[in-house]
Amino acid sequence: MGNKFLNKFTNFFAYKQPSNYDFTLPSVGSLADSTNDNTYTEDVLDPVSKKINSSIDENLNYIKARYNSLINSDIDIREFYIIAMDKRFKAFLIYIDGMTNADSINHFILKPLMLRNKTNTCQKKTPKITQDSSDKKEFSLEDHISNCLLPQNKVTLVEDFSQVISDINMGNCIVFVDTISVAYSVDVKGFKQRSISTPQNEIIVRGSQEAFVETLRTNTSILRRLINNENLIIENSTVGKVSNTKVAICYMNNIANADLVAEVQYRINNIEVDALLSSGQLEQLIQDNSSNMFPQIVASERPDKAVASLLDGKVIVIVNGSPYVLIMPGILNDFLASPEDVNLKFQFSNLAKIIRLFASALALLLPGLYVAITNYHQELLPTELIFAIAASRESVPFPIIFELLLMELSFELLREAGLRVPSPIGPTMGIVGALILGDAAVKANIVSPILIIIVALTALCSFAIPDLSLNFTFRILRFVYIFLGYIGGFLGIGLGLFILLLSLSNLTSFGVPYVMPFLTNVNSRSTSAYFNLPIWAKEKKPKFLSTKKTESQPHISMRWRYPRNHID
Amino acid sequence: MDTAKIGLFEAILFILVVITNKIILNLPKSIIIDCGSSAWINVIYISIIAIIFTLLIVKLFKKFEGYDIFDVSNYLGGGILKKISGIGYLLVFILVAALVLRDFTETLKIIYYSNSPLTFIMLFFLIGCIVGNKFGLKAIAKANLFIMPIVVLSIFIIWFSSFKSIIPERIFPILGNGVDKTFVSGISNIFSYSGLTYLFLIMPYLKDCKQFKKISIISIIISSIYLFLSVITLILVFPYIAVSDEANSIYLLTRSLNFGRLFQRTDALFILLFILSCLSYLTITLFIILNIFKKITNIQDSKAMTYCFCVLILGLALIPNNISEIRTINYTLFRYSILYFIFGFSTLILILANIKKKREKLK
Amino acid sequence: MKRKLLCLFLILTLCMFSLTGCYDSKGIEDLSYAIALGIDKGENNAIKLSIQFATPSASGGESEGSSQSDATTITSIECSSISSGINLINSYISKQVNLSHCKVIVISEELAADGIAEYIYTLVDNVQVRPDCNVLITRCDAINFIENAKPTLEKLTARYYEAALNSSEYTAYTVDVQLNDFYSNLKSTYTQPIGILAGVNTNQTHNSFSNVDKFNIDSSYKANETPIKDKTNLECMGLAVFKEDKLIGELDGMESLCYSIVTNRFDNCMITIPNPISPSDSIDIYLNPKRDTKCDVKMINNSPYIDVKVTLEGYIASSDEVSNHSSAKELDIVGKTANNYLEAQISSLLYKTSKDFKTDIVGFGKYVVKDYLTWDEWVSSNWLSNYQNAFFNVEVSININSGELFSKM
Repeated sequence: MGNKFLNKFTNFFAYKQPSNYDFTLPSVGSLADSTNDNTYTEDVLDPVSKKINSSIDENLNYIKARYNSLINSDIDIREFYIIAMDKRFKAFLIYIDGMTNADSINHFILKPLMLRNKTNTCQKKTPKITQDSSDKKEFSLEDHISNCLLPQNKVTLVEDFSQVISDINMGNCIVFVDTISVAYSVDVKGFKQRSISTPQNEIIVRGSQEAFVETLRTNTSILRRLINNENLIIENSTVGKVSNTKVAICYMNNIANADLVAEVQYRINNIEVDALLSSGQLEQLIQDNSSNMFPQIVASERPDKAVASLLDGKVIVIVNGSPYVLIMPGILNDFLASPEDVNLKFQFSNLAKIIRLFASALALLLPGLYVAITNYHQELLPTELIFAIAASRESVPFPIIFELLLMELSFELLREAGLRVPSPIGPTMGIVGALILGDAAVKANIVSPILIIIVALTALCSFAIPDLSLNFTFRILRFVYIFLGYIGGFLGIGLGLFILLLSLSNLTSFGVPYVMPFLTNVNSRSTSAYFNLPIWAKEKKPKFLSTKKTESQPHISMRWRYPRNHID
Repeated sequence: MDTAKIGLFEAILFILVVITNKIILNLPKSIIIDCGSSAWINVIYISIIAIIFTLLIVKLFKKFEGYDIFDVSNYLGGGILKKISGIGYLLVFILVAALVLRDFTETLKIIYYSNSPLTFIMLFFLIGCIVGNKFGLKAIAKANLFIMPIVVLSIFIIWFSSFKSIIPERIFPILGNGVDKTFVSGISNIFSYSGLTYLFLIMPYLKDCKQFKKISIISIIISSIYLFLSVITLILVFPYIAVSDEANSIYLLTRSLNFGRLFQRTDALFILLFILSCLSYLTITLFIILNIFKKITNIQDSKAMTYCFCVLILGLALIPNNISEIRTINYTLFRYSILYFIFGFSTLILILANIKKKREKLK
Repeated sequence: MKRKLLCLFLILTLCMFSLTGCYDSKGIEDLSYAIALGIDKGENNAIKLSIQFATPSASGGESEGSSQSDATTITSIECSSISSGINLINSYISKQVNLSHCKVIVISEELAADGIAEYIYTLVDNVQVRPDCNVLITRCDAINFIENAKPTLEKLTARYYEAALNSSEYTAYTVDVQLNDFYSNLKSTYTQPIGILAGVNTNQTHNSFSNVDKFNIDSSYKANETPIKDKTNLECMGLAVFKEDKLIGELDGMESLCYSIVTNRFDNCMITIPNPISPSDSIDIYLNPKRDTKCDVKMINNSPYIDVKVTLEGYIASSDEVSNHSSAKELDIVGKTANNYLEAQISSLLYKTSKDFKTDIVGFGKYVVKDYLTWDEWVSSNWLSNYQNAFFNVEVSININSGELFSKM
């Protein structure tokens, strides 16, 4: 046994082959060669609006190309033959799954078109009963289908593809029929709006109040609804040999870096687990560094946050059965940002951001600093304060470290127990626990009042951190700092900070450096800086994501103000 | 192992960390002891020499893009010369690391940790070094990138907040301890720019070797501004600095600061920053030691040697008996080893290599 | 398995650290904070060291925390040096002495006259002692002074010490002398140290005071001479003048005011001058600095000739029914009188330092040093002993403005 331990001990110091999984995004410079759009361009395939062709195959191919229908999982194209006037015409219809009402399509589009019935088996060129003289004009298939074969309340004839695509994105079903150069846009919208609830954990004031739900298709339809653009790709994949959980990978085809997308697909497709039940599990399975506590993938229940990330060039993964979507890569800034930030004027949100930064520093360090200062560096405090602390500790029997750990642990206990308390008595329980326990502890001379302030302030600060995982990380690290502050004062804290910095600097999330990703390539006027810019100045996509499109808006975005200025 | 490269800012701060730590570890004091109130003239003088020297190095390296001094000596004299220069550098850097470690530890021991054994305090630094080197260059450079600006800023804050205790007449008598002390024997103060040694080694780590010139010049200019400010502030604030023998002059400066009645003794906060800076410096030095070792032995991964070199540095740091012995080593052995070895030997190798290259071209 | 062992190893190391490691960790409750340090001449040993400790106590009950009473306790011991004295006190009291919140260092006149360099060096060398604690030289025993520190307007004695000395900013009757000032002046080759003159004011002491100068009377007290009645007896007024490390003289309130003016150390102050219009009365004038005092030193026949140019701004503080302080003519007359008065006061101070005390407390040396090229030349010129040959030419120009609310138009 002793020998074994010795072996292990020497193994700790022994040489180990480095086994790093190294994935880095290609730098922006190399990307700039492949894509030449450094200036702002409208993102459409061909700027001239294309008309619908009378050949159905051509239309079909065009639509497939536009929607990447081979990889896009929620774009449904149904090819069939319609029977009109006893002739068979080739036809297809296209709609987005989740945004349309399947029953309507089945009963009121496919059924009248495909099945034989009285209207479509009519042989004659003209209708039998025509009382109106104006109806005597040439019979056309175009009118026949819309007038007789589509029993829908809102059918419009569209002639060009831009209209087609915008209608599809809105949730309409479009029917193409061979030989005619128009398409029928049938209103079969059917969102599941009722079942979408408000976010429970990411509550904001001015943003949207809807949250993702458990059903994958509903979630994708929410995304589709917010981004009416055919470049949004939603790919399907399954994870879990037994559970076969559906996972959707969403990204903007013309923005997100192709390598990043490929890496996400690669990781998700190479997971060997039996079951995948939530996005939290998936997060742990695909993150870069599994030993580092810091969260590397953003989990959000807010569609607006997800959409903003998509437009920045990030990739979103939706797991069926989990209302939290994963946004990757996630850098430290993302975890300190609140979805509210974008809704507020930049001055307001920056104030909030400064407070959050300050709060996270305090949440991490305050108890540690308190221990270090009171045990090692008493002269740092103002005289009055140190006398106040000394007076308050006069009859406390425990050393400061014990006192602090006691209070921190009981606070953590309160937090953990508070989750389980049935909701009607939850708030009461929290107040009772915090107030009564703290007050009683002070009265009983178990802890000093100053310490209660420290612990309460730390708790308050830790709740100002927007992200749950980061909050957890800081909670754990806080204990490390208490310990380090106790054994070495500022020397220990210094070492702790240094190692924290090192590990943060070493961390990458999908090849993107976790902290200061834009330091090596200047990233001015971008959407990704920690401090919010005014919204008109957010001209660039985050550079560290090496996006295909580098600009998010032209230099002058408020065209109404500078109508004559041109970008040169 | 480390295929990671560092960018412009990281490289500049890589070099700047040396001067910062030297300033923290009482380098200005030693210049002031040498030159008295003319130390600031001496600093300008040696800064000019150092900048000229930097330009020379940059010019000499122009033909050897992406090479460090070992590759150059390999080119010049084959494996043997490479090993000789490698071992020389290795020894210098181990010495530097040990001295800095001991010096800083002693300072800390005097200030806060009077009852702790030296090894206990050193252990904190060595743990930092080991962890840093486990992470590799990229993490070290980036952590340094975080720490250095804060430390540099804090030292600036120290200087500017001691403004009220400045008496401008203290720069007189203008020539201090005499002309010869200032200009002739004072030239050996150029060892303050021992950050220049990094210039010989940094090339292979750069993302873009074309930035070498920019990096060298910017870092050396910032270093000299920095050294100048620290020396002149110390002269103007402490009248007794030239005659007394205090432990750590920057620390004394922090002690005399007070920002209103609330923050009267903020020195502990500055000490925290100094600790970070020293940790960063030692980690970088250890990284360089490991890489020199890797270079001369051609091993594949030098990370395994981290513990060995740490123990070596720890042992070496424990050898001197007291702080004055360290100071003596610092100002005699170290000063001249830097002077002769870096400024003499390395430059010689570079010049010879340049001549060889020229001849080859002629052929 | 490997990971488990690694964790075990880490935990063991950490435990090792925490059990044996916290060498220097001292809880707040283990330390007793000195707020004042008194040094007297000992009877049987070299010095008598008195330390005033704060005894912060929550008196229990409802008002805990806020009720740090002014309770202090004084421990006094005869010993050979400060360090050994602290050591002895450590063995006596239950907690360890910590000097990091010491606000004042009180040294008795008696000891100061013998030289205090040793004690100052010891204190400066101590990491705990703040460099900005004040140096007081008491005209009574240091322990007596500390014992009488019973603040009435403050709750905390430590704060009282701090606040009491801040008054020099607006009275200029003394100067805020800090330990590092004292030390650097002691070490300096340009100037000599000063200390704050302090004393315990009792009926006896201020009855013994007699003065002939009728106008100057309010500012010509030294510490413990002011006829004041207050619960607190402590008084800081005037300066203690040192030559090297030995006390050789005292300056009264007016002289310290002049000293502050010459050394540019005052923010505002008040002087009383004879009224030029009705000679039996006096006028009070508030003074503010307008420009820094300019000093120029020339060496004539190897004896320094010192030019002092003072530029001030004054506001008339007193008003009576006769004078019209808003007329330019009258202000001019008042200004001239004030100029003459202050010139006389300042040159009397300067001659006093040069001829009586033979010590350059103002630091005129720094204006001379630029004439020397190297340090050796400067040191061999021996400014400090040459200062006694100095001559002074003082020029004061006060720009008088009329008073405050009721200036007659």
